[in-house]
Amino acid sequence: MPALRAVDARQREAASVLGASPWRARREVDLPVVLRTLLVGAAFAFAISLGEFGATSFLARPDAPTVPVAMFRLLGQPGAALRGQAMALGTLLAALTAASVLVIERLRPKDALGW
Amino acid sequence: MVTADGLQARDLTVRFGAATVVDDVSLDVAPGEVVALVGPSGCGKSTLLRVLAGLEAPASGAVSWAGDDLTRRPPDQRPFGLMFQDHALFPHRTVGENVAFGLRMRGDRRPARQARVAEVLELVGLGGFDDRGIDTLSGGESQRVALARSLAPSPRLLMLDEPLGSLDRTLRDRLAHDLRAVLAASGVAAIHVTHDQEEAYAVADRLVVLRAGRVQRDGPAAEVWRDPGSPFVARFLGHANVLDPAAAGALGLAGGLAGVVVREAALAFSSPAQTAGNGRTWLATVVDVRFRGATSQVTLRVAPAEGRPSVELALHTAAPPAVGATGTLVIDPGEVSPLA
Repeated sequence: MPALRAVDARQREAASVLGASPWRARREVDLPVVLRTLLVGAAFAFAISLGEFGATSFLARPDAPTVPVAMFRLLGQPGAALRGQAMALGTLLAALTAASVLVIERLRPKDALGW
Repeated sequence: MVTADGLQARDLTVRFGAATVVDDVSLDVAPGEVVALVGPSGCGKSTLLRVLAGLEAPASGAVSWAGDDLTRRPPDQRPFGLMFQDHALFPHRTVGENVAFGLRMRGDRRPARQARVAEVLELVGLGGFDDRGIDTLSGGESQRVALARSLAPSPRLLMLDEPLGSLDRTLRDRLAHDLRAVLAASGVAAIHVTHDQEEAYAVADRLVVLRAGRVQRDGPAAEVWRDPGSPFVARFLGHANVLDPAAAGALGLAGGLAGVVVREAALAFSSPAQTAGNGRTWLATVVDVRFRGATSQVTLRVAPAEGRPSVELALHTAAPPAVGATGTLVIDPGEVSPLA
């Protein structure tokens, strides 16, 4: 796991000199980094899944459509009102995606390079 | 049985594979004493600190504090602090959280932690920095935070591994001065590792010079400087005039097996020549002048009695003579120490 390897061994040593047992040092130094990386990963997965259409259109049940699937259905029927609803959903989707990207930016470790 | 107070390191030896990095080193530090451990890169000073902190196990020898044997004790159970060269601050915590870390590890409650964090941040001149992020700090600030973090749990002995190494000269001089004040104010015993003798003088009163894993010299800074004892220590401490026995003999200076060190205070050069040639006065020629700012370094070639080698000596002066000028050089034997 690259995130774990990135944690400086020196920080674990610093923690142990400051009184952390070996187990505690790992928890205090590595966990925040790992947790952050996991959260960033989860937020990415969320952002991608928001816009996913191809596979979802087969899997989504008719009574529980996802936003892209609902938009597809609305656009597939005639009528200005339905088109308006589809536009509204599209705006909502864009806003949600933008929000999750913002969350990723906030969580991303500033010192982590390579992506 | 050991009963002395303070740190006692006895006959420590550390080997990395076939290489002996620390070779039979013994070192005592009294409570509240500040010692500078100096030596060139790779002489084993950092390794010695790591052994004292418990991060490295010695092949042989013992470490104790106030008679309490710590040799087999892990780092978290030693009453010592260690400040790393790269500071090793925790990047995902604020300044306050970094400083509070050691207090949290020993189970202090929040109000006690906050009070102590404010106190040590004030001590290092960073009052009110609690909520700052680590990535917003300058090099000097990060050095102070690292110092505050290692001081917070009130260690008995604080070890500093080239804490000013990454900073520029001006900042270094200022921080070395501040560091001395902070160490004195907190009353903690300290071992300050550096390869810079100026920094060592600025921070500590006692010098321990290490070379290739062995202690070469241990004593009060002024005394070690005056009487370095060996050519290596003399050169390392910045003495320009270290003469081998042949050169010392040519100048009529009684020396040890390895010659003498001529302190700059021994030398008085006047050009044009005054009375020359007898006793401690020599005829000398200026062979090199190098501008060094406030002063210039002047290299003189002394031509001693027939059949003896000529000797070069350096001194610093604000009004350097021209290259090629001749004059008289007086050498005061009271400012010359033998080397062995």
